[in-house]
Amino acid sequence: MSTVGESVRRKEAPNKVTGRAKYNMDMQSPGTLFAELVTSPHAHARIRKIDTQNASKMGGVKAILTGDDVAFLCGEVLEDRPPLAKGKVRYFGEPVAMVVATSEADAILASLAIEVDYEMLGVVNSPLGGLEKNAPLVHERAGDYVKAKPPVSPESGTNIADLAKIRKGDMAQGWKSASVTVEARFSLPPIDHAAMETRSAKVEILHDGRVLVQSTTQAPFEVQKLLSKYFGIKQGKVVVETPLVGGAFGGKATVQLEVLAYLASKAVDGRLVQLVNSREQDLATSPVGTGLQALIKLGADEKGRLSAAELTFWMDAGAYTDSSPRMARAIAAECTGPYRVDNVSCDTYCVYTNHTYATAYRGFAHMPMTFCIERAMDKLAKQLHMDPLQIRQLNAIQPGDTTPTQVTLNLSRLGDLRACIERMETLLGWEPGKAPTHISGDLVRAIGVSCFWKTSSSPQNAISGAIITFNQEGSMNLATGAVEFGAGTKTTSAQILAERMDMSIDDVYIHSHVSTKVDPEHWKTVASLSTFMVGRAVLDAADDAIRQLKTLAAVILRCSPKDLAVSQGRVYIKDDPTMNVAFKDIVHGYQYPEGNSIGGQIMGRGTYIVRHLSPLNPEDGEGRPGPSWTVGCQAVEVELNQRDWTYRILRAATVIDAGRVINPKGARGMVMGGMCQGLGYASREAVRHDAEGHLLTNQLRTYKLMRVGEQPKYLVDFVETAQIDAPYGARAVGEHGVLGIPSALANALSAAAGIEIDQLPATPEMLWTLKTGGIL
Amino acid sequence: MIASRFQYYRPETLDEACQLYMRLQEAKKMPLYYGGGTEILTRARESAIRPDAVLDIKHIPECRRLEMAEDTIVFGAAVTLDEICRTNYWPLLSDAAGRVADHTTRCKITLGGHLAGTIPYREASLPFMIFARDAKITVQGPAGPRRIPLVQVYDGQLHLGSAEFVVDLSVPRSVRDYRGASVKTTRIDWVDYPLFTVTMVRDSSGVRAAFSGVLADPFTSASIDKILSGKADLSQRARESVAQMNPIIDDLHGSSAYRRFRLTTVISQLLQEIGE
Repeated sequence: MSTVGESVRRKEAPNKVTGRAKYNMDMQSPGTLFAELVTSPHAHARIRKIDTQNASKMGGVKAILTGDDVAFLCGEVLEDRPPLAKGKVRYFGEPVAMVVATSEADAILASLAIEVDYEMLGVVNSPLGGLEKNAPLVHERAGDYVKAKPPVSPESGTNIADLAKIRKGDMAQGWKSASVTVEARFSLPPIDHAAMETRSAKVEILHDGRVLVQSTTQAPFEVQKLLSKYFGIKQGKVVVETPLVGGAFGGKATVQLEVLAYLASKAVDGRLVQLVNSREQDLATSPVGTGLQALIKLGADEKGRLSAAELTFWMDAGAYTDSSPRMARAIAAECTGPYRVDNVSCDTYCVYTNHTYATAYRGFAHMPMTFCIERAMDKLAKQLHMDPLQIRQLNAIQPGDTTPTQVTLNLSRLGDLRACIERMETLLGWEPGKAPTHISGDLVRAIGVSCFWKTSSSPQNAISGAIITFNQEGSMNLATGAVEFGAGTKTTSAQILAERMDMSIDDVYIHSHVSTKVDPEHWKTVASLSTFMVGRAVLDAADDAIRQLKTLAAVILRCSPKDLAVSQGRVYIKDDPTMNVAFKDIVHGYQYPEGNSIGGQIMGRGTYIVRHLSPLNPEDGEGRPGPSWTVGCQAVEVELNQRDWTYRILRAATVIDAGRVINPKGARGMVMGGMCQGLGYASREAVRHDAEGHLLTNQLRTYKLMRVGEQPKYLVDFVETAQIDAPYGARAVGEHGVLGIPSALANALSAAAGIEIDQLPATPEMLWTLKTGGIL
Repeated sequence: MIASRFQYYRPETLDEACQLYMRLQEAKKMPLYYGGGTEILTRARESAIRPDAVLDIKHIPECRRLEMAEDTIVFGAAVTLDEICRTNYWPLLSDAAGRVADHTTRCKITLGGHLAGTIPYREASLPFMIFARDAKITVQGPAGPRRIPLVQVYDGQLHLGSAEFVVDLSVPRSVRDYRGASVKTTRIDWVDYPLFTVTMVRDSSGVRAAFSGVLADPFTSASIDKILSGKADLSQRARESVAQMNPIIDDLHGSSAYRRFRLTTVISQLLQEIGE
């Protein structure tokens, strides 16, 4: 019986599609108090005075907190963020005060009665704007902040929060070998996760000292650790529970509302308090995906072989660093795209701006980084009169090549990009060198392509675990610490277990929520690492259970454990399967006919810790950022109307080296979802501000997402080059569908319109402006 | 959620609604007439408005009329845009109304609320504005209902007296005989606020057009109609008419320069469509 490679239905699907699945705010307890935030209407302003007098007299109000009530700073890497603004506000939507009241309505009404007197300050409205000579300072003394998880290198007196460097090979040599060069500037806006479920947290502090947290987090174990750290509580007393999460995309890996909800509960004698983002707050107050500006210089010889890459990236970190320093290193580590370049110089800056702060977004900054590289590759191909897929095929990184951080790659670690490109040619019916096609009248069709790669930037000691218990009938319960936010993580783990035990997946039971109290830690459900890390722990736990099953069965069947194998809920003798014992007769101990019993409960335990990772050297970036890479090729076909510059997206395609596809339909859905998100970012989504830094897109009326019916035809195919150390060879594929799509769309539109699209979103207005200079 | 409390009333006659409104006002309560509620609920949710009472006029029979008689078509104020589209008594109106918001919302938005609300586009009013000479509006006020020419109270914005509300709009059935079309453009999405909407018809005397999303409010212009009805080639007529429009909206959805460009192409396309 094989489960891996089968399109099994997700375990939680029947409850989700019938509306029975429960999310964080579906579970309400009587007596809950409600917290409401007062947020800043300005991007950068000194707080002169907060008047809470009227509000505190209003009905139902139990407590009001401001920045003066909170004495510490938060931050995953650099502790630079007050949970409630203190002294000044640094972005539109920043929490300034918090009301706790007996009803949501009372909390909102009181929050409206709080008066804040602001004195406006000049704003930093883009990363490059933050580096200008007389730019206002978002943080006056960033260099003094506590570095919680170095490396991070803020510079006081500037808006530079961090710099990650790559120096590989010899740039002088690289430019000397180059007969063709391209240089281009890019500017990409921040993006919002816009998950269907907005972020929320509930906290109760019991009188025995335990802190109970229910949150929409992707990182319950991180919430546990940070609350323990910020408030000096023993970790064991902090219990974090995460039910099903309604979409996350990295935006729920950061810890924000949990800290505020704790403060709120603390202010009301530990009573249960809930804090829920409205959609507006989710867009303005909670973190977004990073915007990116870049200057890219590529050099290649006359055949098109890359010889030099000089790259500068400026990330829009927003008002606080959060995970931006880690993303800067992720950009640095992959800065060339999936191409062999022997001479590389890359500087990635995190720049403070007066925007909502940035955190992980599907692809951990690889999507905007890939945009810059893949647009530059098309420019290079154009200069060389080469076919865009051919130049990528020529430069595709291979086993034996080294990455920008000087990791030597092999097939298992890397996968096979050339095979992906070849498969894409077939999938598209690619005709090399084909120019955009005139269809009729003003309509032109063109295909744009791109390639991507990504490794998983995790800490060097990230862990995962799995525990298997058995029901008396012989079926299994699987506990893991990975959160289910729609990626099918729990089902994939169940498939891996079923495969190893050679049982039906229907005999594996998962629980859809995670509790730090009972589930073994999984670092964070991020970085597309769950299949790999949880999967390894599950295999380890399965092997542990099998060992115990065999040991007990060997006694009963009077043989050596080595003679035994497991299948279909039985332990049997390999050379005579008719001699066997059923799981149901041994998993809770074996009872001899006369009544004596032996064995006891069988429980499998499994663990995994990532290995061989090393931090990047601050001078040249040398180091190993992740366990393996995933490579792939993507394409988008557009039909452009050259009369009014509107366009239709006809097809979007992805070929990805998945190592081994564990759940084909699940993987296809995941990749299609990624393509949809990438098309949204490329064509319409953008976090937009006015000149004073006010957020203009704080509602879904103006922050536009792809709607059902706007999708093109999706093509998905897989190459399978096993990653030897991964469960059944499966590579990370969770995030990757998004990575190359924006650049592929921009490449297609650039070709169709005869322009260079180096910014996003590519709206018809932008095409028109680029084509005509905005002149009628 | 909507934090502030408000009272909900469901008057069943025109007079009852109006009397109730006046009584609430006298009691210093801020009342609002309530149709589909899409604006009242969403703005109250943001605490942008805090009414003390809403008077739901959807259950007054006169406001729910949707009839095509021998010589007139009547659209009650509490008829939804979706009902207007589905009955399709006036195809030109269906065209314009059918692109407002999304389908779910059009099943709620009423014609009266659409005209009286704060969202400035009011696209469904464009066909009525083109037939301003013939379109009538019934307004309920303290002295009872009165049926008057639409132009007396609507010029892209609705100008009603205190306690007044719209009961219905009507047009002669003959409006169906004219050749017309309506085009909405957006930044990129099918469902979005408009960059602009243009509605155009042609009769024996020439071309008439109404615009939304171009200037602050929907408008018609005799001088633009004259240009559109002229003899110049289509794209020149389009350019000249757009030159008359000032100042064109410049916002998140599009710059005024881009709106001008798209208007020019859409106007000449529409002229062609209606047989110019």
